[in-house]
This record gives sequence, C-alpha cells and structure tokens, in this order.
Amino acid sequence: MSNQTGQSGFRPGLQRRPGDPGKIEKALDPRNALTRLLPYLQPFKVVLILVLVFVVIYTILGLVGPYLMGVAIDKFIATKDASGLVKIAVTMLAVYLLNNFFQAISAWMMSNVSQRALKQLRKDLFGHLQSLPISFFDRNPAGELMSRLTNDIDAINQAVSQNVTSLLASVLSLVGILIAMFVLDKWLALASVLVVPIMFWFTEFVARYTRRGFRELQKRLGNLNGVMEEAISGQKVVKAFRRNESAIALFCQRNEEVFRAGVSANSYALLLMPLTNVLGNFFVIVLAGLGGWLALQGLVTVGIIATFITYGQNFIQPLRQLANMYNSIQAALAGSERVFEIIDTPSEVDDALAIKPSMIIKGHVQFEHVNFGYRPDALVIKDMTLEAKAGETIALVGPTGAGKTTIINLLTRFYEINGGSICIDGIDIRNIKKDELRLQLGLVLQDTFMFSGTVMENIRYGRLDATDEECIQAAKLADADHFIRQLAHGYESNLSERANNLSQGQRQLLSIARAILANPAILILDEATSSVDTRSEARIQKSLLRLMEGRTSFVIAHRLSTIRDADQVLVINAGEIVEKGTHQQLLDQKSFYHHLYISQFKGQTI
Amino acid sequence: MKPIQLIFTYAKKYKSSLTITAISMLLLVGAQLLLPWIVKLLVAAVTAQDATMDVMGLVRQLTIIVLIIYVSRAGLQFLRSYLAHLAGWGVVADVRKYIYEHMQRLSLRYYEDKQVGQLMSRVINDTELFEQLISHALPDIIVNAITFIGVTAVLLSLNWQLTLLSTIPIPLVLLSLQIYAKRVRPAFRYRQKELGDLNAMLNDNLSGIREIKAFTREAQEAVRIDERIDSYYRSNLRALKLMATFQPFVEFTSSLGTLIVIFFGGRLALQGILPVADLVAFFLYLEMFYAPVRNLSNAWEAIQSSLAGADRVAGLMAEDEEPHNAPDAVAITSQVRGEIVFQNVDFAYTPESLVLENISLDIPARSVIALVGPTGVGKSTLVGLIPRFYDVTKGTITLDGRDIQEYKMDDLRQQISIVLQDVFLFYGTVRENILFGRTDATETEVIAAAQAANAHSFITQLPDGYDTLIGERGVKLSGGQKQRLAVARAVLKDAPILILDEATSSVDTETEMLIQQALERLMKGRTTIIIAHRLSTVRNADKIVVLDDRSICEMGTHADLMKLEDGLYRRLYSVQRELQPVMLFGVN
Repeated sequence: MSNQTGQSGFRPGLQRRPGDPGKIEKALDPRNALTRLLPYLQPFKVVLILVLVFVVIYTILGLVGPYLMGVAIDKFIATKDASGLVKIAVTMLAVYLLNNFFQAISAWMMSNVSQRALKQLRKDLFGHLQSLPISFFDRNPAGELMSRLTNDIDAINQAVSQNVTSLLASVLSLVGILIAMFVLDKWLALASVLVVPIMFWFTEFVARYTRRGFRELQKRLGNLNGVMEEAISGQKVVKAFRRNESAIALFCQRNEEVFRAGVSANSYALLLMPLTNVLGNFFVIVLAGLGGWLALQGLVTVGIIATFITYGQNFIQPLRQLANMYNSIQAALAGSERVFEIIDTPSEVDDALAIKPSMIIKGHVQFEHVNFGYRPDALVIKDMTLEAKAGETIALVGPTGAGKTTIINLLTRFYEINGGSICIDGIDIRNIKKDELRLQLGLVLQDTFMFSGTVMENIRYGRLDATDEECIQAAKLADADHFIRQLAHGYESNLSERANNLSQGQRQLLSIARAILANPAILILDEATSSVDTRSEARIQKSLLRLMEGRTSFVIAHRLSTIRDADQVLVINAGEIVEKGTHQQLLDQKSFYHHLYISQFKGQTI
Repeated sequence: MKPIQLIFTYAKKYKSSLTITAISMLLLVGAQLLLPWIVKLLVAAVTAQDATMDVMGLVRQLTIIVLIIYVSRAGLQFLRSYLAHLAGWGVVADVRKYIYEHMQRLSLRYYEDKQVGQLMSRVINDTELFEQLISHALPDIIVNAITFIGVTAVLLSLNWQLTLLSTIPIPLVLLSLQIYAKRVRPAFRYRQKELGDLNAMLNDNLSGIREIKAFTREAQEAVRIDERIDSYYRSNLRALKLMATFQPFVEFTSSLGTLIVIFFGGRLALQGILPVADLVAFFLYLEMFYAPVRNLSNAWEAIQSSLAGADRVAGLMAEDEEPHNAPDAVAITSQVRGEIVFQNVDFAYTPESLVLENISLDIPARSVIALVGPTGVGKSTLVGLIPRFYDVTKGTITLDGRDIQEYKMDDLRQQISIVLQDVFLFYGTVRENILFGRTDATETEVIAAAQAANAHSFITQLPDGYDTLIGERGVKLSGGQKQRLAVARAVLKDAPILILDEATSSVDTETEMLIQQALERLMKGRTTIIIAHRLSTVRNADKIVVLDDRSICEMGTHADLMKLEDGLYRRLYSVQRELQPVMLFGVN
C-alpha cells in the first residue's frame, strides 16, 4: 500500500450544518472594511439606486396585499357587494403580479451588480497575489492561504449578493408593517410589538447553547476522523501487530461520543424551533383573543383581524432574517478585512535604478561579502564571498540549515541581500530587472511542481513560444521522451493536480526538459535525495550532466559523483564557507570534509 | 443486502423511539388542523351577533384551548424531533461501528487501490445520510402526506366546490418544482464546478509560485486566472438570474390560491352558501394545502440521496473479509524455528495480471535474505505473502514444513515482526506506540526495548519523555527517530521471523549508524528477510535474491553474483555505488 496520508482530501471540520451558526467572526475595524468594499460598488451607483427604488416598491406592494384582503372581507363580503369584490380581486391580482415582478427585477439587477463587483475584487486579489514576493508565500503556506481566501471571498459573496437587498427589504417591511398596524388599530399593534423583545431574547438564549453543542459535535467528529484516518493509513501495521480489536474498541468509544454529542446538539436546536413557534403562535393568540374582544366591543372589524394575523406572520419572518444577516455581514466584513490585508501587502519591488538592456549573460557569478538574514537580527549568510567562472560547476555541500537554499534564494532575488553585492558578469544583480535576471537562471528543484495541464504544456512552461518539435526535442535531451510516449496520450496526457500520476523521478525529468527549453546561462539544481530506483537515478544523472554542459551550475549536491566532478566544492556550515576546493584538494587537506568522507566510506572500495 | 433493507435492519433497534415519533407526528398534524378551525369558530361567534350566546365566555374558552394546543404542540414537536434524532444518530453510530469493524477485517488487497479520503467519506459522510433519512426525510414525508390528506378532508367538509377550485394551482406548484430541478439546479451545479475549477487553478498557482517566478510567468498566470474568474462569473450570473426569474413564479403559484379563494369564495359567501367564518378558515388552511406538495418533493429528493449513500455502504459491506482460518487451523503454541519455503508461488492482485510468477525460494531458519531489484517488481508484495496480508494465487508457502494457510492467522502473525520503510505512528504517547508490539509488556521491558533500538536517549530528551504525544497531531519525529521506534516495537514483540523494508530516505550518518546497530541487534538469531537498498546490508546477507519482471532472476551470495559477467545485480551494484547519496552532510 502506498503512503496515502498526504492525499486525503477529506476535511470534515469544515462542514457547516443547518442550525449551526458557527463561530461569529468580527472585523477589527468594520467601518474601514466597509469603506474599502464600497468602491467596488461605486461604478454601479445608478443601478443600485434603481434597485433601492424597486425594493421599496415591492415591499410596499407586499404590505398592500393583506390590507386589501381585510378590505375585501369588511367592505364587500360583509356588505355583499359583488361588483366591488370583482374589482378588489383584480386589484389584488395586479398587486401580487407587480410585487413578484419587482422582486424578480431587483434580484436580477442586484446579482448582476454584486457579481461584477466580486469579479473585480477577485481579479484584483488574485492578480496581486502573483506579484507578491516569495517571502510572503514562505510565511503563508499555500494550503492555508487557499482555504482562507476561499472562505473569505465566499463570505463577502454571500453578504453582497443576498443580504444587502434582503436586509433592506426586511427593515422596510418591518417599518411598514409597524406603521400599517398602528394606523389600523393601536391596541392590537401595541400587543404585537410586546411579543418581539421576548422572542428575540429567547432565540438568542437558545442559539447560544445550540452553537456550543454543534461546536462540540464538530470536535468529536474530528476525533473520530482522526482515529479512522490513522487506522486506514496504518492498516498494515495494525494487521501486522494483530491490533484490529483494540482499534475497533477505540473507534467504538469515539463513535459513542459523536452519537451523544450529535443528539445533544440537535436537542438544543430542536428546542429552539418549537419554542419560537410557540412564541410566534402566542402572538396570534394574543391577536385573536384581543381582536375577538375588541371586535365584540365593535372597535375593530373581522377584516382588520385577518389583516393583522397576516401581518403578524410577515412580521416575525424578517426579524429572524435580521438576526441571521447580522452574523453573515459580520463574517463578510471580517473576510474583506483579510482580503484587503493581502491587497495592501506591497508587491515585489523592482526598483532597478539603471535597467541594463537584456544581454547574453556569460554566467560569471561573484558574491562579495554578502550578508543576509530572514530577520534582521539573525544572519543566515555571513560575509560570504565566492566566485563561479562562466561554465563552472559549483557543488554546495553542508548540513541541513547551513544556508545552501538561501544562497539560491539570493541569486534569484527571491530575497534581497542585506549587505555586500552579488554580480553576474560584473553587473550587480540589483541593477538587472528581476524578469530579465530570472530568464537567465534555470531552476531544477527537488520536488518539482507540475501544473494541471498536458505534459506538452508543462514542458512549454520553460519557454512559451517553443514549438511542439522544440518541446519534444527538449524531452528527448532530458531522457523523458521514452516514458512520455508510454503514457496513455503521449505528450497530450493530462497531468492531474500535483501530477500524482507521475513518479517523482519522472517529474524531475520533465523539469529538466523545461530547463533545457528555457536555455538559461546559469543553472541551479537541487539534487533529489529521496528514493527513486537506481535505473531512474542513473537516467536523471545523465540528463542533468547534459543540461549542465557549458553553463555555470550551482548544485546543492548529495551524490558522490556530482561532488567528484564539480570544479569547486563549497562546504557550507552555519552560513559560512568553511572549506573550498575540488574534491581531491579537500581530501588532500585531510580536514573536516576528509574526516566525514572517510567515516562514511570506511570498508568500501570506491 | 439491498440499501432499504440495510436501513430497516438497523432502524429496528430503535422501534420504540420511532413508534413514539410516529404517534407524536399524528397528534401534531391533528393540532395543526385544529387551529384554523378554532379561528373559524371564533369568527362565527363574533359575526353571529347572537345575543343568546355567551360570546365572551366562548372567546375565553377558545383562547385557553388554543393555548393548550400550542403548548402541547411544542412538546410534541420536541418529542418527535428528539426521538427521531435519537434513532437517526443511533443508527448512524451503529452503522459506522459495523462498517469500521468490517473494514478492519478486510484484506489489505482491498486497501491497495483506495484513497484514505474515499474510505473515510464512506464511513462518515455516507452514513450521515442515514440520519437525514431517519430523522428528517421519512418523518417529513409522513407528516406532509397526512397533513395534505387531513387538510383536503377538512376543506371538502367546508365546501367541496371551493376545494376543487383550490386544486388549480397544484399542477403549477408541481411544474415549478419540475422547472427548478431541470433548469435552476443544473445551473447551480455548473456554477459549483466552475468554482471548483477556479479554486483548483488558484491552488495550483499558489503551490507552484516558485516555478512561476523562476520562469517569470506572473503575467500569463494572471491572464489565465482572469479567464477562469470570468467564466465563473458568467456561470454564477446565469444561475442567479435563473433563480431570480424562477422564485417569483413559485410565489405567484401560491398567491394564485389566495386569489381563487377570495374571488370564488367571496362569491359563495355573497350568495350565502359559505359562511364568512368558513371563508376565513379556508384562507388559513390554504397554505397548509400547498406547502406539503412542495415539502413532499424535497423530502423525496433527500430520500433518494440517502438511498444512494446506503447503496455505497451496502457495497462496502459486500466486500469479502480477510481469509478466515481454516476450520482445522493449527495453533502455534511455542516459537517456530523460522524456516520458510516458497514453492512455485504465483500472485496476482487482479486475475488478469500476475505480479509474482513461479517464485521458489528456500529461507533456512536464522538466515538473512536480501531482496534486490528495481522498483515495482513485487518485493513488498513477496514479503506481504508471509504474514498472509495476501494469499498466494498459486503454489504454497510453508513455515517449518507446514503450509502457512493451515496455521491460525493470529498465531502466524504473532511469529513475525515487520519494520516498514514508511513507519506509521499512531496518535498517542511514545510508550503506547512501543507497546503496540506487545500490549502486556512491563515498563522495564519497554525501556529495554527502546534501549536495544537506540531510541531511549532521544525519547528521554522529548518534552514528556515516554509520555510525549506523537503521530499526526503530536510532536513530529524525524525519519530516523520513527524508524528506531519501529525497531523498538519489533524488539518488544520478539518474534522469530523478521521482515525489514529498508528505509531509503536519507538520514545523517550518525543516525544511520545507530539504526544499523539496532537492526543488527534485532536480527540476531532470527530469520530475516530484508528488502535492501543499501550496499552494506546486501553484501552481508546469507543470500541475495534478485527480482526482475515478476520472478527471481539471480540468487546467491554477493561474491557469487558479482562473478556473473553481465548480471543484473552486478550492474545495479556498480551504478548504485556511483550514485550513492553522500549522507555525511545531511540533507534538506
């Protein structure tokens, strides 16, 4: 069984359930978040005003309906006026139709506006992401960034496309209903208004418990998932040590916990619904009782009671919505705060003062007293001086964390040096445009990233204007042609996300093909250390040698043959070059390198 | 088992809960139907203007009745939902437990081509659909069906002509549901797909940011993403517009009912056929008349998806369990000597393609055998046959002269220790992870095992020593540390047969030596089969078995094999020596 732990795309923790309002996030500075968001709606001012007008119209029309019903009962049915009844029925039909019409139009227009605005926001955000420096991505791992952005944009989307209009409509109809009720009969209105605070307080009270319950359920479910994921990934070990029964016992225990948490979380939620209904109905009872009494006194008519009951039902609906919307708008503001935080992160600067015209770089690299630290107080590279003549191969060796990768990050200007200078062909790289500089640097990293797309597209990534023939030629030089042709669709085979369908060795061959196509003057290699079988290893080694021919190459070296064949071996420790020379020279010096070398190959004939 | 049968089997246990649920549902519907009737009585009393009646008293009585109905309705609602959920979650827990147990007993062969996420989703998500079904969909169907029938009966008793007229919007309601399913939902599904594509691209992009910058492709990437954003925007807008056009239509179908009742009901009232009170009742019943139609169709969909989940669960249940013990299986009472013989063994995961072919191999007790060969020739499969992770397709494997299939499986596995290349640690303490080797070991034995595995010193340096939590969610251990824990497990188990899948990922020299030392201690006096990647192990083995293309192509000691002029081993050996990773400096 292959190691599948890493491929699990299952994230139960992110499930949202009905009835679970989740954790409410709040923006630190809601006003600022709002003022940043508003400019995206600015271009659609006229449409938005129209939407506003339509919302007002349909809200009013919605209020007129029940009123007309009351009128119909009192004026025409009670007085047996047939022609009047026809008239009022036709009027009501017209009111309903218009109400629906304006609702449709405003929803239609609003989604148009909100989606356009969001499209712009997405483009701004994602476009800006591309231009951020590598240090940003080192701080924010892709997976985390991704889930954050997806959630934040989604929250904004929710709020803008749905809540803005319904918020408006809810508030309007609340106000409208209140006014209408007080105009119709102030006693009935007063009675209805009294119910509201009770309902609000109560809903919030139960909701708090519900939230807690569902959070508990999520936690327990997470535990259950953990137990299961382990047992599945480690199935071989479980079986080898005959521990199936104890694995089952643990699962049963966690399972029981989920069951209990599930029932209790739902109990709270279940309590909420009937109880709010009771309150809602209590409202109707008050109306019916009070209305009946008032009717007996001759103070109100049956029609008014009917109208009130209908209003009453319409009254509670927007109230509930308002509570929900409040949370979702909070989430949207918190989300947009983070989105703008990214948009406000400065782009990778390219302040090359004297931008040299692009030229064929020979590849003579010099580091002069280079100092660098990811944080100013901790230097990772200390006063480093090195020289690579055009066409030379430099092997960088040293323990983990010695600063080998940092040297490469500096050469590519993924990070800027703090002191000293790095020159290529005598030109300080800070005076070369980053784009121009990177075009001359070929990078073959240990775990190469393949984009989803065809094999051909992935090779062409090296040089976009390359023809199919050139791509195939590059693949041949990289010794990748053979395996590509064995894929189901050859060069047109689709690489799935993360190229799981290719072995690591194959991915590396493809990245070599990319680099061959790009034809850079300087090559940066990170030799693979993880296992590929001996044959593929030999193949990769051969095509790397071909690639390195005639180019200045920096190799983070792990293989004896590479180190032996290098023009210079730089032994790096704690950000400094501790020894320098060819393999043979270093051996002859009988120093640090020699000592370690001998201890490893003791007893073997090399 | 059929999916429906499956659900009923599990639901049976919660018969009493479900019965109470059903009864409370009936009472609920009754209460629901009573309310408008009371309003009708009230209106009738008020409009009657009958001086002989104690109208005020009636109003008071009715108010109290309504109050009682509401309170008891709330109680019933709670009871119904609570018990339905109790049954629902109970069934989910039972099914999960059962599937999980079943999965534990499945052969490793089943896990071969499955992703962890896929299996987890079967246990967690698919079973959760059962809860949907039992706590929500089924009760919904019953409540709505009864409500619909009840309301129809009440309405008919009030006035049959008006009732018939009120059915006019029903086909429209059905039509609107149809349109929703056929047009609107697919548009939203498509939008979801577009969003998925956009996110996938973005994810790709963020993960490959180094490549993008190295090849200076920022501008092109931005264009590609812009295109995706545009196409998501288009699909989204299309779906939202459909929805916006559709929603009013649905609402209108319900309003139409009100209009019909007003117009025709009003006329009937004018003609004196229908009392005003009945007309009001009609209004109140009307929503109860249309809502069940909509709800029924929603509940039906929920049932469909639950059944699909049940179907997948049933599929998993139908998978064969691991081979059982033979009826007359032999128990192993003391330690075996450890002589293993493969006789003409064939093995295939799927009938069409053999992975191992005609393997014959003699492993004397207490010898060291190294398996060598290119990736994918079935070295791991071959060693997996010994503890019967898989059973041979043809031929036999004997242990101390007896076919391994004749032993009790647990006893057989008790005789074998395995140290895998990819060490798997469970979430738990270091001690628990070592105790995995033998649960009843004492503290002294655990420490002795850790010492033998050269693990004791690093364990004592962990924050909580042997009580440090490790595994996925605990303290991360390095590859070398994990390996030594695996060795400690094997030491504790103290089995006469040892299977080692040598690690290939590099560790620093010192760790390398520590592991090597620990392994040598462990191997002493045991039959050892090593999947070898390193020269040193290979050279010292009693016998080297070279596998190529499904079968054994060379076999012998290092010296024997190096004599073969054009042998695979000789070739591999020389290439490997050239490319041997230099471990002395450690790696990233």
